[in-house]
Amino acid sequence: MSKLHSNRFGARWFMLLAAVALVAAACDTSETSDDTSTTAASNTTAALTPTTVADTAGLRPVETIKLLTKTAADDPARYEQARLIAEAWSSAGIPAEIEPVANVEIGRRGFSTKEFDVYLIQYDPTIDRLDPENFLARFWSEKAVDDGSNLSGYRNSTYDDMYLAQANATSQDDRLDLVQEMQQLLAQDVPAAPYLSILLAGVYNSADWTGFTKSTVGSPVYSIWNSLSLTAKGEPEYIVVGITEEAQDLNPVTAAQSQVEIPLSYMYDSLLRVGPDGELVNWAAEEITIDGTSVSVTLREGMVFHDGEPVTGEDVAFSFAYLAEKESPLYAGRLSPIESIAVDGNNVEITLSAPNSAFPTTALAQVPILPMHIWSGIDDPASFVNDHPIGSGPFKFESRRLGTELRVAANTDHFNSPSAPGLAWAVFGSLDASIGAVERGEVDVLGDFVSTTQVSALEGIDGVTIESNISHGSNLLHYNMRIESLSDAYMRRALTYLVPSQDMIDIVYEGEGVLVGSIILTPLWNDTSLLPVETSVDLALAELAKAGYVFGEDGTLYYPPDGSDNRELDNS
Amino acid sequence: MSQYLVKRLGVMIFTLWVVVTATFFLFRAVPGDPSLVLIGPELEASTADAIRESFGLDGSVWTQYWSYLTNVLQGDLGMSFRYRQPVSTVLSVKLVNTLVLVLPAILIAYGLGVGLGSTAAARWKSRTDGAITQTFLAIKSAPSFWIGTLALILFSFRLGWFPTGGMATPGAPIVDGIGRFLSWDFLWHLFLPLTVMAMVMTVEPLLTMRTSMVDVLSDDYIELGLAKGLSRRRIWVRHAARNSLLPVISLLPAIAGHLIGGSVIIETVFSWPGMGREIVDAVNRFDYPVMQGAFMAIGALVIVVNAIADIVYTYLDPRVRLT
Repeated sequence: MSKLHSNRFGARWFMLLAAVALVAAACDTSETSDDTSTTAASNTTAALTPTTVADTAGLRPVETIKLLTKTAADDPARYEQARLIAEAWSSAGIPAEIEPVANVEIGRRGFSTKEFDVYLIQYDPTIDRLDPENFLARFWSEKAVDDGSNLSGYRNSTYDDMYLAQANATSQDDRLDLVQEMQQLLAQDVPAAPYLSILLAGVYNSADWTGFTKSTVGSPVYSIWNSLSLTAKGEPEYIVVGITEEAQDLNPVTAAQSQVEIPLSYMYDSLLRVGPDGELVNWAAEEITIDGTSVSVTLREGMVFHDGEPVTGEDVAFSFAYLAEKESPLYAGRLSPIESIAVDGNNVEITLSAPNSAFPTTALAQVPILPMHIWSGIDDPASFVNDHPIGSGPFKFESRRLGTELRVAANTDHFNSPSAPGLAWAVFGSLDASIGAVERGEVDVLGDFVSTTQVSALEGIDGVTIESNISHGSNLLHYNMRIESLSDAYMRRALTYLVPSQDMIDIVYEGEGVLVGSIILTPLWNDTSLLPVETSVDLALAELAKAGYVFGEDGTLYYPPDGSDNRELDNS
Repeated sequence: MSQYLVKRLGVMIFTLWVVVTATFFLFRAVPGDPSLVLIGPELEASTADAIRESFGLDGSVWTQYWSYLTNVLQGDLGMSFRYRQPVSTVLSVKLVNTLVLVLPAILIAYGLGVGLGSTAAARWKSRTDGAITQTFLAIKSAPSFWIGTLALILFSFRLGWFPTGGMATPGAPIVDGIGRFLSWDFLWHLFLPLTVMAMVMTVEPLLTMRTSMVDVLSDDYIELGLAKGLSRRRIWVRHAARNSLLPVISLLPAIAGHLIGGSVIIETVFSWPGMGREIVDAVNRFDYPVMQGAFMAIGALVIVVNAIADIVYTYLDPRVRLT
């Protein structure tokens, strides 16, 4: 489906590609002339550039660097960025080419076997990533294994120490210091190069709806807060959310698809929720106190599940234990810091194996509270069809038609019950179709993560309001430090200086993006002193020269000759 | 005759077993597996084993094949990996959606095809023939996603006469049962995809009918009829058209596959939640049970329709003998 779905965009993207090709061709000529002028300048000002040697006998040429990306059909924007980057590298003399692969293959090579040189990835602005933990863990040496999330294979004991210290930090200020220091370290060692962040769009029908709540993090429009507050101006009606990817498995224990988390979070409550401004707010918990390894929760009084049974501390303790024991793909990992849980009425005492500063965001604000009276009897959740989910959330399951619609009705007994009588997720065959439906007023809220460029067709239409936020996910390059050429910090810095970030914002995102200098972008944690890396061929060549790389007379790049090898190899 | 039927039935069952076995192993031979589709920036690779285990993919292929075969014989097609619902539930929902679109489309296509095809043949090389043939050749040579998108842009986005896709207005209460297909809302949603699909499907029966009837019209008995002074109309309808139907009937089994397979392109363009999109999505995400179930159903249908076509053929043309 996804392939065809992109084919629908074929025409539009084809035109964009053609435009890009033209611009790229124009840039090519200007770049070559730039190159000659730098070489000319270097003769007089002696800017550092790798020496050109006549005799290359005994020298090893640098292997072609392959840039792993999705195919043009699956993800045209990403493919185009990869093309621009590889082109910039090649024209500066570093041999490079793009390696576009299918979705399944990119998952396998990037995440489970690490068969790549450089991997161009886009991290979505998920709730998890509001806490720096999600990104910081991606550079922790323990995760630098084959099936780990440290794609770059970065191993630095100073970093590891700081990582563990921030994870166990009990004061926010201490943690902030460490997180900032770690960002500095990453910027210096460049295991990965974050280069831009897109403007995330949110679209809703303001002709028919009032009571809009803007979120300042993540999607500005499509959030539970907005779903709770939107009120129809006329007759009360269901909020229709247009999506292109259906939440398929509504069983919280077996679901592994991240799209499912949103509908689940509407039907099931969690102890905390991430508020519209990114701060944690109490939800099913009346009060939570965290002191080192002890987390004391007082549950809100009077909550009931959709079937009328009361929500108790037992349900919370059961849910955490059950999801962990049944190895729930979405939630088990988040619950791993828990050592034990004790219950006393509405009080739940959670003991962690070590202090964990990310635990409230990653676990308490996300793990659903399941009704124990239903799930305790289910030994094999994989064979249980949760076709009528019972939770205690502000919306309750009403009906579902596969591939068409999922409807939830307002839970009027909830402590924060929605203004609208309910909400329906309508599935569309393509983003174009759902955007068309917004234009016609059939869809009230666009439910996909989209950039402002993708919804430009809706600009200026009466009754359609577009809001935007800078995404806290980013587009970045993971350098595979297990590969010889990329285990050298000079080489990684040179490659990073060559990334044409502003061009990509201008060409691929039509100006709707910002340059970034760190992988942590949430305002609370971002180190603002880290400026985006400037795009400069001179600085790149200087890095190569400092490490001792040389060019042959035919322009081939060679590893530094013995004796003048000043590379900073990480894995030696 | 009965001996023939028994033999025929035996061959059908054997063919079905071959289809079931081939799909089972072919899909598993494709590089990748369902856990890899889920793994990525959002899900750690270390969860892959647990996911595979929950799909029942931890045993050997032979154990999996054996348990699949025994389950299928008991009518259990397994659980979809993506929906965690029985394959029969998933497929029946999608199959109904596809049938309400494809069945009328086939009927319209055959009606139009036979009608226009014989008209074109009767007026062979005339202006009418040229107009009909050229129009449908143009439709045939244009990709259907293009025609579909054009129809959407014109009638939905520009003129606003029809919805942009789907089977019902989003947000409207879900109606169950047959009432769902009898509402104006449904017919309004059905119109564009049905029209485009019927147009595209008309081409083959039309051209086949035309060629076949042009052939028949040159036969001696037509000349004889003319000599007898029968009206042209009578000759065309009673003699020529009826005798030209055979090749058109033999097209049916090929088209029958669409009944279950749906049309991926039309369904995607018009956001129609049918079998075509379901199968493509199942293939993309390695949902083996759904793929196996869908291909088994398509295989069974094509096999049965072929058998029926064979039998109908002998009825229509007694020169063909069942042996």
